[in-house]
Amino acid sequence: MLIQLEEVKKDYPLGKTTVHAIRGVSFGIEECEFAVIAGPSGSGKTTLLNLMGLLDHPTSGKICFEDRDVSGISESEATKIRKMRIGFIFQTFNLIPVLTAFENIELPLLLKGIKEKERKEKTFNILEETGIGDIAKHKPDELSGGERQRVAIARALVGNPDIVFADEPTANLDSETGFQIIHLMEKLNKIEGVTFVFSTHDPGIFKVAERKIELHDGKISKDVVQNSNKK
Amino acid sequence: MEIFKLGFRNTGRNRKRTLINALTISAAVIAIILFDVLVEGQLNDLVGNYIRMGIGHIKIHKKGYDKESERLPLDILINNAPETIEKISDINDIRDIYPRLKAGGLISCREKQSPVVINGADLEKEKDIELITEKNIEGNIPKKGEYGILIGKELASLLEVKPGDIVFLYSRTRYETHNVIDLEVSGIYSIGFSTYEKSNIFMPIDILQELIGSSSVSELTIMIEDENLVDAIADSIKSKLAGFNMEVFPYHHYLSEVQNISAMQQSAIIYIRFILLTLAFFGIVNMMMISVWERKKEIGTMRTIGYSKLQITGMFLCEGFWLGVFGSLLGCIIAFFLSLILKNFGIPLPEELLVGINLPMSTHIYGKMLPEFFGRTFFLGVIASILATIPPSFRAVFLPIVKALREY
Ligand SMILES: Nc1ncnc2c1ncn2[C@@H]1O[C@H](COP(=O)(O)OP(=O)(O)OP(=O)(O)O)[C@@H](O)[C@H]1O
Ligand SMILES: [Mg+2]
Repeated sequence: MLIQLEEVKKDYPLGKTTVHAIRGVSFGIEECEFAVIAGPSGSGKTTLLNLMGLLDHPTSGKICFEDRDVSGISESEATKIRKMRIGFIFQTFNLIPVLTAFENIELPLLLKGIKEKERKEKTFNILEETGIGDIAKHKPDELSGGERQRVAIARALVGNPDIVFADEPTANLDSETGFQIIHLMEKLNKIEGVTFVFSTHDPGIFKVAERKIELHDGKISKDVVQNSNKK
Repeated sequence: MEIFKLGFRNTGRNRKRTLINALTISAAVIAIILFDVLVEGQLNDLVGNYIRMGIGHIKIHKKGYDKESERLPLDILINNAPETIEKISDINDIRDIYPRLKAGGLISCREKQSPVVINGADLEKEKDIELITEKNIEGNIPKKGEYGILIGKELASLLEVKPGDIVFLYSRTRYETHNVIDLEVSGIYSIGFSTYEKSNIFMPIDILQELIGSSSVSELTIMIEDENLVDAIADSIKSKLAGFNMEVFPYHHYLSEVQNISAMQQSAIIYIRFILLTLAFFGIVNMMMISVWERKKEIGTMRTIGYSKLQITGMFLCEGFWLGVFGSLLGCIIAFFLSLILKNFGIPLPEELLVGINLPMSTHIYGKMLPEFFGRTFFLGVIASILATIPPSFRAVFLPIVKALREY
């Protein structure tokens, strides 16, 4: 099991009251899974992904990353795990505007201290793989939404993470482009063996995933393995 | 390294804001440098005027004279002046050597009188003394052998005399008796330094020697070519005159008062520097706070990728560094040109201001540039700019990642 959640809860204080964003969820993500977290707005998808991605601490419950309890680890420990093992993709792409596509993708490798030659090689490879070799020198504001999200995917994958979290990666794209992005993720999942967990509230999209975890009001209402429906 | 590059590129993001920040630093840098340049220029002017007013670059006295100089002693004189001059005349860089004799006396005309310092000198030769250049004189400079004196404008109005009038000059003699001669007022000098004008009169040295009954001199005043060599030359004069029972002083020995004023000004300048840089600091802090807020999502993203708090702080400090470099460089360049203007044209001081000041100040302040003004201020500008990015960067890194990433 790559990630295991046990009775995880997350509360946010909101003025005098408390928002119970996640109300006790338990499930695991296996290596090489391609899982979607589906649910309406406000159901807790982002909160759940943030907890799994070690960006936030649960209020209670236990989160294990490869059998190691990471629920209460220090900020710097979490940073280390994220740097080495985890990739992130965001709804709003979140590219660094002053860097070119190439440099954005290269960033995690620089951070890991990988030598220039290997770095360039890896970056070129992932550019090809994500089909954006021709826009490498462009800055994010010169790219379309789909291209930006491909850059973001390339950035998330370039460092060979074990798992990639994507919070509504298609929400800012038209449905055609959205599907292309999901299929790209699926391809990378199959070829590279990277585990993907992404969220969406678009029923069209979550049909694609092998596993669907449905979230309602901070609780899992359904957790099914669907037949992969390749066309 | 990557952080350095990112910091650099980030300065190009919001050009207008970067420019405002850089100009904030530039303005502080310019103000500080111009201040330094003016203060240095004024000090230089003051010292230069003192030197030309008779201190000269180096003075030689009979040993023991300096300690007693207040009473203008006539018993500690140099009685072998020609020999002494001969001995040191081969030292390079010495431009001129002027013998002078000083005595206390009383000048009177009709029923008015005033105590004075009588300066006996070869007045025509002493062109280095600004106050005897023609332009400051009404009348003439008394020549050697002429029974004439040069008195200050203040004294002239006190005694109600004009060139051509006769005055009486009483003085002690070498033998502790008294003597009096009548002299014609040859000229009236004005240097805009009223206490000096009131108390210093000039006459040919041979006439003064006659009055006090001695052929000796009080001092040998030396002018040199290069002011920066003053200490070295003073030292070589000292060694040349080893057996002569003399004392030798460079000009700054006589300017302790001016030096005190300068030290006071320097400490005032430190406060001014501090205030200016603090203002720039807060200006930048304010602007950077906005930048950080606008970039919080990006900062959150970098942190999810695995950038540590320290690295993010480093990125902001680099941005501050570059900002400081741009701003300070620009400031230094502008300040350089403004300093050139100050150096060549000066700024006039209001007449009323000069009246009350008992220092030989010129009517204009001319700037004086020293390389260290630019180096030091550049450095301070960069430091202030870097420091100014610390509070905003802390705001950035202590924001929880999850909050930083949120859209609202
Ligand atoms: N920092 C916070 N402070 C207070 N309440 C929060 C915070 N973050 C999330 N919430 C609340 O927790 C609940 C779950 O939010 P979350 O963002 O995880 O939902 P979501 O499923 O991602 O919704 P969306 O589809 O709109 O992105 C919501 O009610 C939200 O208002
Ligand atoms: Mg969300």
